[in-house]
Amino acid sequence: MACSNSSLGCRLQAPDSQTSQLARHSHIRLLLSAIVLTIIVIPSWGFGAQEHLSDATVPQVANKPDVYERELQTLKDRVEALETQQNSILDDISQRVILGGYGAVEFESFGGAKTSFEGKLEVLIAGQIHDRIRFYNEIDLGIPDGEAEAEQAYVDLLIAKWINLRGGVVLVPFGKFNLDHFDPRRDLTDRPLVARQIVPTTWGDLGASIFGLVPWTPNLISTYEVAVINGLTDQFSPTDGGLQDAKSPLTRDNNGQKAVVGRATVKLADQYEIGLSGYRGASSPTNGKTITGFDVDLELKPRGVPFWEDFEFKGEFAHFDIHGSSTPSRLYGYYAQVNYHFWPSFLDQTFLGNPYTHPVFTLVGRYDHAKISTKAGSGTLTEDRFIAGLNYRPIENYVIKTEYQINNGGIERKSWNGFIASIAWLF
Amino acid sequence: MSLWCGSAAAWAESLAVIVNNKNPVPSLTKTNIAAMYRGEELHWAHGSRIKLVNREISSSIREQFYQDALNARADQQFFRPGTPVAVQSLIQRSDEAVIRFVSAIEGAIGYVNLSSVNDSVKVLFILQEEAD
Repeated sequence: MACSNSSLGCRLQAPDSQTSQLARHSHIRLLLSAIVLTIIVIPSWGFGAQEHLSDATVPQVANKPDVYERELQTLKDRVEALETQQNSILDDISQRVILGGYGAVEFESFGGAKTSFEGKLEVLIAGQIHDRIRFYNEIDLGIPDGEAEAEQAYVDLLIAKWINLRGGVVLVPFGKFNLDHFDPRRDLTDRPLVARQIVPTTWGDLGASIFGLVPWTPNLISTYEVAVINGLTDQFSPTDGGLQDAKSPLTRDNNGQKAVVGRATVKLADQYEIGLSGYRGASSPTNGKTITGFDVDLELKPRGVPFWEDFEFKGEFAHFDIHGSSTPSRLYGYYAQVNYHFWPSFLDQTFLGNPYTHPVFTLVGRYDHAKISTKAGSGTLTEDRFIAGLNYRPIENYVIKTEYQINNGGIERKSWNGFIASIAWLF
Repeated sequence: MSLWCGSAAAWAESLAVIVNNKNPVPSLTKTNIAAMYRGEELHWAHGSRIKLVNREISSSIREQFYQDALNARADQQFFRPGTPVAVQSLIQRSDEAVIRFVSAIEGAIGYVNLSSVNDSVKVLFILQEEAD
């Protein structure tokens, strides 16, 4: 037998000898023992392991649904609790305090006057102290006049829909324009003559009022507000500002007699509104002069009515008598305005239309008239104003306005015609 | 509840006006709902404050709700009288989020697709989709 290179094979297959036979038997026994041991031990390890797993895991598996269900329920409860907490916080944040403001910057160019930029910025702070107590502050930061003042700063006790109590610096409930004078809400920059010379718009005063809402039918409601305030003073002028300077300076009453003012409205389907206002109060410290006035306002906003839904109509008439005064003795004025909202679809994909949901142009026409009568030598002053305007609102709270005025008269802009543009925003 | 679910397919585009399950008010009219979202109704009949939940302006469900309930565009704002402060509502961005909020906050009211309604809230009014 050739054994040239395999040492083990050579030894196993060595020529006969006693030693080699014994060694061979010894090797065979060792091998057999190993096999037997392997057969006995290894399966026992395997079965043992299997038996060990069964003992530990079967009860655990059996208990798992309960354990997992309990854990799942705990997690669900915690998520729900967190959601409730989050929603309560959201609710609190959204209802408790609102910080905002509005502003406007205006440019005007009239023949005979220097061109000018003017502006205003007002800070609004509103919120709830309680479910039934809310407050509102509107602070004029004094641009351009330089003195900050509270246009409104009051607190409401909300008793019921039909009766509530307000106290503080209240916006005097006289005329729709005074109650909705905010620049970003208006479609023309210049306020109507009646809201500048006759009704001293942005008219706030110290006092208290009751207000409420009475529904008559599902579509017909009335609102009212009656206020007792310090009232207008005798700082009026026939030629410069009408009753504008007669607004109370928010100090002590100059005559100790309170003025009573109120406004009531009827609203149909939230689209058509007519308002009636009245005012009566002493103006001078010596009680020689009493001011009485009334105002009628109208606003029509047809919605869901084909063709007409793009139009708005609004107007206001106000009249004041100053008893015991000759300069002036009587003031009245009115305005009528029509708005037409439109949007050319070819602008949809331009920078004017593309990023916004409902951008809109508004074409505006307005006629104003004011008359201030005096019993003095200066006689009666009147002014008429025609305005054509166009504005662009990419969103409701931002507007770029342009307008051209034609004036004729002797009160405010005399007979100067001119151009006004402005940007107004609300946040 | 099964009634709502059963009819969900038929009212696939109808909207449900929902309130918290603890709200004792049994039903509402469209006029009530409009008055709430216009800020004219501030409190529930039982006294607690009405907390309005709204959807984002760009959502079709808000467009439908504003059109049907308020006769207004989706971006129409309603203001507290005598102020430029808009009537406050909390914006949620899905039916599920509206339902979660309304089910957690007692004075809350919101609107969702009728098919999304579940037992965690109470339906007080259904704005039915008008047939074409």
